[in-house]
Amino acid sequence: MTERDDKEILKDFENPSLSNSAFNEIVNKYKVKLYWHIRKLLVNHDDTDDVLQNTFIKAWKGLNTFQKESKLYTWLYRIATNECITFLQNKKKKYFVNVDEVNSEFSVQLESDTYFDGDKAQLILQSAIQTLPVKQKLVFNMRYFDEMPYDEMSKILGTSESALKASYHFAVKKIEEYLKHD
Amino acid sequence: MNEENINNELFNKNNPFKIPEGYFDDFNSRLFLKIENECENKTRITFWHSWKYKLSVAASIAILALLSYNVYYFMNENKIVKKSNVSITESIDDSELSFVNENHIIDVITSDEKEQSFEGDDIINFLVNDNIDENAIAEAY
Repeated sequence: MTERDDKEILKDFENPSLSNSAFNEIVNKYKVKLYWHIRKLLVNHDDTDDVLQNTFIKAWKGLNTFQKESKLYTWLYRIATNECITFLQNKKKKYFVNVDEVNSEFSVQLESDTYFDGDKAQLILQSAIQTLPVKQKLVFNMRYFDEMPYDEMSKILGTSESALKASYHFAVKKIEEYLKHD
Repeated sequence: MNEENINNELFNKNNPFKIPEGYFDDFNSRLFLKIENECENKTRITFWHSWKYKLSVAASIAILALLSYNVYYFMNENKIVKKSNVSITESIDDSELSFVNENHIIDVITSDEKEQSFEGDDIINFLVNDNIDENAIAEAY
């Protein structure tokens, strides 16, 4: 079955009798992409599931006020990113521990995670990514793994392209430092 | 579109993460269930935060304030009446006393009339003459 254009789906969403099926179509179209965007940031599957559901709930509530000029995918990506940031901030507040403790704990947790199938190098890379501040982590993941262009990242994160390039540069430097010392 | 293909397409790197089998199959149904629950909660919350709720609370406070004022006013009004009565009585006493001569009082006290007493027959005669029912007196006291 071919995927319909976002504009067509959004037009259906405005019709009360078609809104549920239109939203279902949106979920089907973007759930996998958004899942991986969130998963790379949060690593844990259960956390990702919670945040992905919250992302779509927020989208459902806000779709009536969605500005049709911007892309639906960019808008959903932005909601998911903000949800991730909120989740990580809450987690940081809840488990008030220092960075070193988090890193050592993270490596152990990831090794024993049934949904992690990486080798030693990937485990070290993921541990290194976890040492980054949230914004740098976001930029690194979007650029390194998704290979997203800076102009698209700029629209999603609401940050200038030059600032994003600087963030990516710092993130890479920090990861290199981590890998050297590990 | 296959999930694994999407992973590779997105990452273009080796993806070390896995997803539980069939995770996306029931994702939509779980999501819509959660949305339904959210909507129900919202309806409940909406009532407590609706303008109707706020208006009813404001009306209750207004009624309570009005009742309190009335009770307070009623109680104070009684006090005012009592005070005025007292002041009238006091003024009457003052005026009466102003006409009483001190020597006259001494004369009344020292005179033989002060030893006037009532005999039992006098009381019976008084009750008979004035047609007063003694049972009524007994009930009253």
